[in-house]
Amino acid sequence: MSEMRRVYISADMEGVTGVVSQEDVTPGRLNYERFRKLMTQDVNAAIEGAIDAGADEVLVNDSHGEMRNILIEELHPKASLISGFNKPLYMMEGIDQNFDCVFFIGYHSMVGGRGVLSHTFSGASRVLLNGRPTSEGEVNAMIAGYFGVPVTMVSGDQHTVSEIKEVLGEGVEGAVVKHAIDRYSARCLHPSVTREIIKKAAYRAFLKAKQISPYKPKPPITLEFEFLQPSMASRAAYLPFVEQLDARTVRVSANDAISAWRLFWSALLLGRSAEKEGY
Amino acid sequence: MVSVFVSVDMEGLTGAVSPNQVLPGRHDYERFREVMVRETNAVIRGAFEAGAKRVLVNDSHDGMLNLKIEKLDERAELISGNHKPFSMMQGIDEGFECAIFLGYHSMASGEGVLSHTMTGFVSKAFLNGIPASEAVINATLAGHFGVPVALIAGDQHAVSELKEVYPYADGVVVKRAIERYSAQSRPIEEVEKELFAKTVGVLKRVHTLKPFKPTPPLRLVLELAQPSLVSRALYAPIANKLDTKTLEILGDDPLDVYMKFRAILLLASGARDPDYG
Repeated sequence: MSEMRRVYISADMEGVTGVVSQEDVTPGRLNYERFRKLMTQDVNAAIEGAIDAGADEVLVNDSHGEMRNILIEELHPKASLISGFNKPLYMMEGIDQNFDCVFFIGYHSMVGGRGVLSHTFSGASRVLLNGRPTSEGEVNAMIAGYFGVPVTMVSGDQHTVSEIKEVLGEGVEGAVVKHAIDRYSARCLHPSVTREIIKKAAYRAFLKAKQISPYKPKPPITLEFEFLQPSMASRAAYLPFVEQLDARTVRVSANDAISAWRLFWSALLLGRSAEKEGY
Repeated sequence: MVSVFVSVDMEGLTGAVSPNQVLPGRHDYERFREVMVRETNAVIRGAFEAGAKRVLVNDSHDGMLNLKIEKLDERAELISGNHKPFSMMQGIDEGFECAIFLGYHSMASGEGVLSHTMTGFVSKAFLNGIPASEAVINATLAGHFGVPVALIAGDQHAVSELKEVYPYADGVVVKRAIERYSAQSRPIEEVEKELFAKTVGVLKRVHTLKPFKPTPPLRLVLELAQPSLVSRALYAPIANKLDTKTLEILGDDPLDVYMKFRAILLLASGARDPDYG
């Protein structure tokens, strides 16, 4: 019996075909229902490419907002879906050493970046990994890397793709589905076009699974982040492992990626609990 | 120079028996803000009568915006607002001779009026095996700074829950709980007089009181309402899971345990659902 070949897909929404605004990605807002469909279609295109290239199973983790965006009734029947909130590994919930590769679909560029709806998790105005500005893609690649799984594909705007290639290498397949003009505008390719782009990139990306190394930043892994408000940093500093550097900046450090993630994520969530509506 | 720290909650005030009386915007809330300031002023008057030079009052209920500064005895200072690292004990340090707890209530799953421990989703708390009310937890933090709790006011359960583990505290029983949402209350004037007199009394013997210092290592066990609250709290590797709904916080230092406790509850609250709890 041949070994099963598995692909893990982390699907965010800001980098989905056509998305340019909060109106597109926020439940209840103007265009959200349309873009749930397009998000599901982008994911399906990646699944089709992977299956054409020989994948046996695909696990999709809905990784946007409250993580209930993908329409399971329209999802490719070969995929299973992780849906819902409160997942310890968050955008990477479900990853383990039994996957051949990871695809990032609908990803966006880092906070302060020029891409569409750029941010790095929310609540922070700057996030550094081992001293360098980092993206959600890099942090999530590090989590996959802990399990020995390489990220071989990313879809999103041009900045998202170039940021990922800069840290993970040019070998990563990039599917540019739109060209950001500004944080809230882009020249968008038609869904029928992006479907082919994503599918072809996924096909190649699956075949590259053994050529691309898992991403393993050099330990100790340090994550430093600047909160929007000092009260958020003070609250994060209730945690004994959080080092406060100045009024808004805190730092955590660990020897492996999963420990670093846990420290970072709990500190960020605690800090975010201090946000007050309207201010 | 004698300094007094006063932490004022609301559920244990004279006459309070219902959420409608202690939650901002509810129909009886404004009346109980008045009761809150009256009980607080009785203690402030007693403290200065006994020779205190400084009284620091920490508004310790809900959003901590309840005490009206314009109604407070002018000799006291007020800590108002939330986002305070020490929460109900914000402002406590080695510089106080004693702490006084007003308007306090009984612990989660307790029999007293509006019983709870810090939030609605803690179903049980134990400190070194002792059932831990807010008063017990806050007394531990005061004890860390060498400050004894001299007086507690609330219903009979709130008072006895503290006195059982810490006999140094004097108590003013302002009402007798019938159950969680009903009580027989004393007249407010009578309560004010007793608060004044007992504050004077405890300050005269304040140097005979010993701070509450449970024997280290400290072990704070919390049972939460839902397993998902525990899972979320444990994103931070500062506590151990005992079973699906229970976790423990360990430490030698009460301040360290207290800050972990704060972080755990704040993280857990992020897993609450508005409809499903």
